Amino acid sequence: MSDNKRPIVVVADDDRDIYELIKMQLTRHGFEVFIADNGVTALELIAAHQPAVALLDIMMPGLSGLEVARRIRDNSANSNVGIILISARSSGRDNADLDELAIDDYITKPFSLKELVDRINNVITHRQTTESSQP
Amino acid sequence: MPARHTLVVDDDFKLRLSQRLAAAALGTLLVVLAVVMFSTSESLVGKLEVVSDAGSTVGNMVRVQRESLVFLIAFEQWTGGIITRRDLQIRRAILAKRLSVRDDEGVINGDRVQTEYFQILGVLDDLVKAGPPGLLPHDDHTVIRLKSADAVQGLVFEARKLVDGVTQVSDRQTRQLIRNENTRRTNLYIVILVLLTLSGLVIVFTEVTRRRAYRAFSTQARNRRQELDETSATLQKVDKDLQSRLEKERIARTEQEWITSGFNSISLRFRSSATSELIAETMVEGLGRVLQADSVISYSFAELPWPRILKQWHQRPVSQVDESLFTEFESGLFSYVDGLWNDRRIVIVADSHLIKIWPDQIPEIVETVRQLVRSWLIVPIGEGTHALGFLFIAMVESAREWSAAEIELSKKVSATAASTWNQLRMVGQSMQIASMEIAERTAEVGRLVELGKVKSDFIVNMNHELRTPLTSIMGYMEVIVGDVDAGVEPELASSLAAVQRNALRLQILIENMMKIAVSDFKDVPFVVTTVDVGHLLADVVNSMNLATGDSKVELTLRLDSPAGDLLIDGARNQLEQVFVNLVHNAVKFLPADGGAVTVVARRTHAEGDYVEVKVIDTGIGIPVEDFPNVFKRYFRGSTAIASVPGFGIGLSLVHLIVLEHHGTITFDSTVGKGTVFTVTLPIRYTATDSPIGIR
Repeated sequence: MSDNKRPIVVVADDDRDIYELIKMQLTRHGFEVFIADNGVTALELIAAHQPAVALLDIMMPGLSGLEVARRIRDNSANSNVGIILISARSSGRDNADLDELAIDDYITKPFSLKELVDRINNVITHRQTTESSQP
Repeated sequence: MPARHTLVVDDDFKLRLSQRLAAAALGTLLVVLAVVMFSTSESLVGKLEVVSDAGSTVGNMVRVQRESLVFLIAFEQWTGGIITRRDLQIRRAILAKRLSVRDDEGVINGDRVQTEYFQILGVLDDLVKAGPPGLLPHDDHTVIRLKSADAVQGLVFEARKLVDGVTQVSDRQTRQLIRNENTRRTNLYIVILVLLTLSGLVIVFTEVTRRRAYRAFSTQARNRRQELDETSATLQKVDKDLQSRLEKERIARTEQEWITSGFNSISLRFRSSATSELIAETMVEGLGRVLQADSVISYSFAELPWPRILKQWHQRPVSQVDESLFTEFESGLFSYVDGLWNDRRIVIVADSHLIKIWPDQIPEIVETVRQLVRSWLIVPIGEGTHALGFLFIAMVESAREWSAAEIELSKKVSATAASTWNQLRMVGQSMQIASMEIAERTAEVGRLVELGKVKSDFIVNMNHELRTPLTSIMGYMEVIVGDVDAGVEPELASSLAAVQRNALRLQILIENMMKIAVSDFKDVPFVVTTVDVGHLLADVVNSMNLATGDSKVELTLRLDSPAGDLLIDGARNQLEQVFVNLVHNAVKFLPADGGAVTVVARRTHAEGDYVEVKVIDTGIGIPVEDFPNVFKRYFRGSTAIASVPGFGIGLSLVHLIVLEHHGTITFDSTVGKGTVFTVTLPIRYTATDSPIGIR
């Protein structure tokens, strides 16, 4: 990922309104956005574009967001990809799998778009810092 | 010595003082007498000597005689012309002297002499006088001799008579003395003899008394010993009696103890036996062990709805008795045992080999039994008027004299078993009914739970479904609102604000619903951090203000303590929920013309460290009759008419969360005036305070 280009985000959500909304907002904030409406497509997009962040809705038909996350992590080529999961659960993370999968962040519906943008930036910044600290 | 009926004392053998004195006196006397005797002999000699002593009469007379004879001899000599008249006269003078001497008795010797003597002497004196001095001439010899011959003879004769007389006297005296002495001696002898006899007597007497005393003593001793022997024999007998009585009592007590302890140990296990089967098992094993029997069988007759129970216990590996043995004879057996029960009779067979005739009415089973065992007890078990079953206790090969205690124990145990069986039967009945009811209820509860789960699952699913469109709405609203300039298009801005407001309400509702639905099944995690209540309240009030946007509602926050004092342990999102709900309610229940809602927060120290938050509104209030129901789920209050939206979930959820934080929530309200809700939350609660849990 080069600093010149816009950061790439892959968004996976089965609801059209949601992903259109997110795409619009993120594009306005300077991200390049690729959309998938299912897990399989999401994985393909991630493999193709190596995004900075993958924004995954947990509740999707077919592969769930968790499953996608697992596959991303299993593939060592994707070690740079940050993962943010979108959940309908209102309370905090209570799934041990999340810890195992080294999810970067977790956001619950309904969320404010501004908050979403902030979180994505945080994840990217955090990842860059970690990367640069490694030899 | 008086016989004394006391224990013999040494004193009886000692000589009394009188005896001692007597003995001493006697001894002394004897010694004295011996001395006297001795001295008497001496004195006799002395006396005799005295008799012949010069001073004594006899001595004097003898001297007179001698002198007389010497004079005569001298006279003869004169007459013979041997001596001179002078010599003769000297001799005559000596004689005369002698005659004038007094003897020891004071008598002049001359006085003792006979007159004839002096006559003769006188004659002679005359002759002497007539004679010439000096030697007598030869011629005169014969004349004088002739003249004096008679006188001389006569003087000799007289002189002899002197002594004779005196000798007689002295002889007499001597004889007298000797006689006296003899007498004295005899007396002494007599005295000695008497004394000796006396001593002897005394000794004998003492000895006799001593012997007597000794005999008395030994008799006493013998009597005493006899008494002692008798007493000891009696005591022994008494002791033996006592021992045998104690033994009997001990046996009886041991038997009683044995019965009691045996019974206790068995009945204790009865109590922990919950079924009739277990009771029977406990009974046979307990009795088998305590009685040390070879086999114990317990059989209860089938009595609908309870089945027959056959339980058996065998000490040796005896083949188990088959139920068919009893069922084959069941009816006969029942009437037999029932008979035993009603007669309260126990069958006791010590040795079946000895019995020739069997009095009871069931010969077949008796034969069978006889072949299997040698001695037995049959104890009927019954309650009231009919038998429930029986106990069969047997020894296989050995005869046994069943003791009263053993029979007693068996009776007690079977009686307890009977009553416990009965109780169980009665309990069993009610328990059966109860358990059927319980089963029904459980099924119902299960159904309800299922239903609840289904509902809850539905809600949760719905909830999730609802969130997504809401996200879209809110999201697009955000975009739109961002694009609209409120200054340019105030109406549009206001409309959009209305939409946003309602979207927020929807969000709150969805959150609430979710929580309630989820809380039923304990899925709610509880992540505890330090929460800044002041900050939290500020957020809530701000968003509420945004949401209402209504100038008719005055919503303010007041912090009465510095922000740093308002930190508590809790779950932020849940606490947020609490205050959102409370404020939302407060706003919701304001009258149509608006009002004020004030949120006040402060730190208190009353009974611990707390943060107290009051939500005060000037709303329509809660009527008193609704007070108990305020925190109940789905309660909406009688004042909450259709104009006030809501599902009534909010306050019950608030209550729940506050409780989970170990806090309290109270309220006060006046209809038409307003309501105050007070939430107190502890600053700290320790990790060991488990969450109260979902109520």
